[in-house]
Amino acid sequence: MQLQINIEPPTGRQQRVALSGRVDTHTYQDLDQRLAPLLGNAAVDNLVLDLEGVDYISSAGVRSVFRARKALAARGGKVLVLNPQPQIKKVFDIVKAVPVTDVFRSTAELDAYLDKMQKKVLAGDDDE
Amino acid sequence: MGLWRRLRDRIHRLRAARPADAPPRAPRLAIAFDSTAHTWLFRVAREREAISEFCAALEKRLPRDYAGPDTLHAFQVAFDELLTNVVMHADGPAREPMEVLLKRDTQQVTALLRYRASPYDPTARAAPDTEAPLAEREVGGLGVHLVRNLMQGFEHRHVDGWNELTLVRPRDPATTT
Repeated sequence: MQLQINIEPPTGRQQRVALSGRVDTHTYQDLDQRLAPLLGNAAVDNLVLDLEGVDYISSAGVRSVFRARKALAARGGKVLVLNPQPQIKKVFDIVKAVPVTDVFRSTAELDAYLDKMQKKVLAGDDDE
Repeated sequence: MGLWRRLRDRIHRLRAARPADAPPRAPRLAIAFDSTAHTWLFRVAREREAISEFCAALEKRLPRDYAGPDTLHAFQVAFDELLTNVVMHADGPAREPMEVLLKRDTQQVTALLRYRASPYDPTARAAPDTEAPLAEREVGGLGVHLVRNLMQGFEHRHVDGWNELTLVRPRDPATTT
């Protein structure tokens, strides 16, 4: 019933956070508190939420993800979702919590996307 | 509702049988069931912690083929949202628990959520605009939208001081064959 939150060391301007357990009405405040300093850190552009270990998310958890998206979008950043289980992805899809283009089924898929973005930034093309 | 009354009486009997030196506080979660009718009654205290206990109990206590994992998950999400709304926003007697009756037949699961409070109909809430640009979208208002989309039936009525929400969803196909 608990939520485990593992904040990994930042890589460049990416910050990866691995979650496992339940993100519900009882645990979402823990998530909000742990994410707050990351969202307030101007050195973080993209927040990668690894949800492989999350087996349940309620609307309270969706709101936490949504708040993070809005906070990062205000400075041009993104929340990228990695490895959501089918029931989690279904909840996200219903409320359109995260664009499908920001959801990745594997670390390799995410890394390829981040590499592509990195190259675009280096080339001075910041359309995306 | 005869079955409803029988299950409530069973909870009262269990509570009355508590040892004399037991603390008087009502439990956060009380459960009664009638296995022949595939019917379960949960009395859930108006506390956030009780909602998590209740959702976890659904997984632990219901038989695996009661609803199937997809339908069970849908009900958990719906209850989490609706019960949290009661705890956070409803008036009425705070010490009186919310009640959830689950019934299963061959095809579907029906849940009746009851709590005593002024009339409030969540089914009347407007759907959020999920296509709006991110900057214009509200963070709240997603929960009822979720419930509406996860359930096949979602109805409200107010009877004798009680809000009653009825939720219906088919059982997972694998559980009905």
